[in-house]
Formats: sequence, C-alpha cells, structure tokens
Amino acid sequence: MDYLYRSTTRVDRTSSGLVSRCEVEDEVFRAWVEITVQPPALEVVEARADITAGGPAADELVPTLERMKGVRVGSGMNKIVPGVFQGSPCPRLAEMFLDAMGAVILSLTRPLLRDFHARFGRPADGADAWLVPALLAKEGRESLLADNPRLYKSCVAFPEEE
Amino acid sequence: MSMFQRYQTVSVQKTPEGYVARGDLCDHIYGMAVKLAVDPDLVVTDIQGEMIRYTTDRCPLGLESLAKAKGLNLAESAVESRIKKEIGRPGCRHLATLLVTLARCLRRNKEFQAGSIDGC
Repeated sequence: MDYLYRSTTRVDRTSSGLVSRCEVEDEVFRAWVEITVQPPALEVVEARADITAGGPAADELVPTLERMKGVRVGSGMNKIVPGVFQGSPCPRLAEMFLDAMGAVILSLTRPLLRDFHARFGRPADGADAWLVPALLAKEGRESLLADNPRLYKSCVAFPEEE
Repeated sequence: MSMFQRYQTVSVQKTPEGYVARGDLCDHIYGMAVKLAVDPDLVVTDIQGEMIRYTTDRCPLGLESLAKAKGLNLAESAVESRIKKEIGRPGCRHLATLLVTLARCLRRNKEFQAGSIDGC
C-alpha cells in the first residue's frame, strides 16, 4: 500500500457536557481535535486541537479555535466551520471538527434508533441477519419519520414515494 | 462507556491504470465498505460498495446510487458537495461520507507521492 489513513471519533458524556474527539493519522499528518458542547442547544463551549505531525504548533491554532466557540452542532455547520478555518494555518482541521460535530448528532440518534428497533425491529434477510438483528421495515420507518419529520427525503430510507 | 464511536480507514495503491482505494466505516450504528478505481487524473472508473450493518430494510438500496460516482473527477473542488447531493441524499449519507473520505485520501496520496504536501 502506498497510503494509509485512519480516523477515530468518540463521544462521551462528561460533567462539562458532551465531549467529542476526532483523531486522524495518515502518511504525513497526525492530529486530534476535541469539542465540548452543551445540550440542548449543542453550542460549542470549548474547542481544542493539536497537530503532532505535519502541521503548525498548537499556539498558532489558538485564534482559530477561539472562533469555534459559539458554533452550534446542527444545520449550517457544514458551511460555518470551513469558513472559520479559511486562511487558518491548518484548514484540514475543519474536516476533523465536522466529523466530531457529526458524531455528536449520531450519539443522540443512537438511543432513538435503539428504542425504535426494540419496538419495531426485525432481523435482516438472509446472510445479513447475523450482523443486523433488528432493522426497521415500513411500519417502523413510518413511525420514526412521524416523530422526526426532518428525515423526510434525507436518504433512500425515507423517500418521497415508496 | 462511550456514547458513540466511529472508525474510518482508507488504503490507496498505485496501479498501472491509476489508483485503487478501499475505505471502511464502522461505528455503533453502521458498517459499510467502498472500493473504487480511478484513472491517473482521479476520475472514477469503477466502484463497488457493501452494506454490512444498517438500520432499515431500504438502506441496502443506497448502494445503487454509488453507480453515479462513475465518471466523477475526485480532484475537482466541488466534488464533495456533488457526492453529498447526488449520492448521499438519494442513497445513503454514510456511504457518501465514506466516499468523501476516499476522495480526500486519493487527492492527498497524489500530493504525497509528488512531494507537495505538508499535512495540512
């Protein structure tokens, strides 16, 4: 192999709020970013980062990290965060912050899905069943959509017409 | 105990025709993989996906939208929004996320091989 990449993103609940950390490593770059967000608004109250290979020293990142404070996890972040990092010493960190922010959303989605799978889930068909013991068929999807209308037309699972 | 974890890995190899790459995404909810071939300019010539873990009976249909990636130039700056709009929304947003990661890795590998990348 010529090039290898690995990223790990993890969300934990702490006394300060939800902490989401994204670590990335490739052939020339190694870094981590971390945000603390407070529910229910999911506003970033703290942003930290360090580049341990292939980028500028941590103190050069401080002004950009300060601008992350107040950004909210949710709609608009995909445009706001790259804007925050435009012209910064390491624009690539924007991708990592977005991964960390997206993981916050998924961390809140996980218990919701667990609940719907418990109520409506059935095993996947055939060979997939051993790794997918509970999935939502039409009734479950419609019920999830009724509770979460923002999912409408968001992906193939919630189409305009079926 | 964590509330959520996601891992993504990508590997890229140069070939006589261009490059091949494989990406894997694994988290507490989803599991999927994509492998693709691109020409030396990073235009997608072949792509295959696999849904390993998913949440609804319709999720595997998201693989069909991957075919729209054929012919996409992953070196173009606007390609990420096209992937999200043309493959993510009508198909699977998580497959699109993985494809965007693959596109970035293919670009960075090319820059890395040319010696013109500093990491950021």
